[in-house]
Amino acid sequence: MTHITDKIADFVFQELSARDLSDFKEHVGACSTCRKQVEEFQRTLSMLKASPEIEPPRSICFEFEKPRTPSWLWRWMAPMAASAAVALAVVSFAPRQVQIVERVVDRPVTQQPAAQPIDYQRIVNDVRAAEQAWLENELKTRDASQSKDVLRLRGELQALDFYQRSLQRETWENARDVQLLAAKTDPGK
Amino acid sequence: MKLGRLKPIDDRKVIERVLGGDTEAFNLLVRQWEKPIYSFIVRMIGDRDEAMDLCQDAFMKAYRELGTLKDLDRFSSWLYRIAHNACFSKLRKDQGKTFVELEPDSHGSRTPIESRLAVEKALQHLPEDQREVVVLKVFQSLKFEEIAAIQDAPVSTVKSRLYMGFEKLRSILS
Repeated sequence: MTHITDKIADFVFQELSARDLSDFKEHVGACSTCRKQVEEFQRTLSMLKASPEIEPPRSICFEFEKPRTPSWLWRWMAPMAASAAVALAVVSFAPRQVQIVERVVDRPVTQQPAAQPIDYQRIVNDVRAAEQAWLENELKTRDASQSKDVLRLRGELQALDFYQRSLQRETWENARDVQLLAAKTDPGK
Repeated sequence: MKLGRLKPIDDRKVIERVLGGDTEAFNLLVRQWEKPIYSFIVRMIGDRDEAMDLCQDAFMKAYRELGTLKDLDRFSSWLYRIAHNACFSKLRKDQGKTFVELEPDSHGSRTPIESRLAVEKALQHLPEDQREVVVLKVFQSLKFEEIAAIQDAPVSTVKSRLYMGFEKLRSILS
């Protein structure tokens, strides 16, 4: 007789197909070795299942950042940057036109210095860097605040735990006193 | 939590909302899965405080990588896989550390708390692979195929790990 010990788990956890289940039951009905193994498996499962469910000590809840609105810095810096760009444009082009005119006399046209292009990218990068620094500072402040909260909560939990243990100890002591008192006052003893 | 009680379509709908920009909806998934994931991690690593941190990390990772989930109906297996990685990473890090043993068990009738402590202690005596199969099968009610996907192992290997785990647990608990 071929034993079917490899199907015990499928049987116990109800993962056997209808046909396999029928074969399994038929075999177990006739084979005491397999029957004993099924019983042992189920006994172990019962012991494990006797352990109650584990509840998380607290619920997790994520706080998501909303799509970021321009910060006060950016709101302030953006028009400033635009104004700066316009001002730079004026500064760059206006005097140079004069300069070019002046130099036309001295130099061939081909050697005229070209008007320096405005580095808009640099301005944007500067503004971004300033905002990045502000943001990092904000995040550091927030992290520090959250760390403090976590520490405070841990402290509170420890205090509660200590309080609970004290109460438990007191309850035991009271119960013992009650028993002692009962033993002393019981006229039957 | 029994996996069969959950409706995969609910997970899918919520995931679609999250991917569509309703990030707050992710908390619905957290609420639905935090208990099974937390209890899985506790039984794997045997430390409740660490388990809470790992559970939180697992959900954070799930949120960040939700866009990479190919089959939205298999969110739970994918989440367990993330928790599995977190546990094994932690267990590898703790290799060589000694832990304080829990109070010795008094055999005979146990209160539910004593039973839980006894089971948790017994589970810690199993090799990690066997422990994981026992936890996922007995306490999380996952199918063998799902466990095989989480462990990245054939179903036959998963089953033999379960048998070996049960054999050891029987000798410890009885």
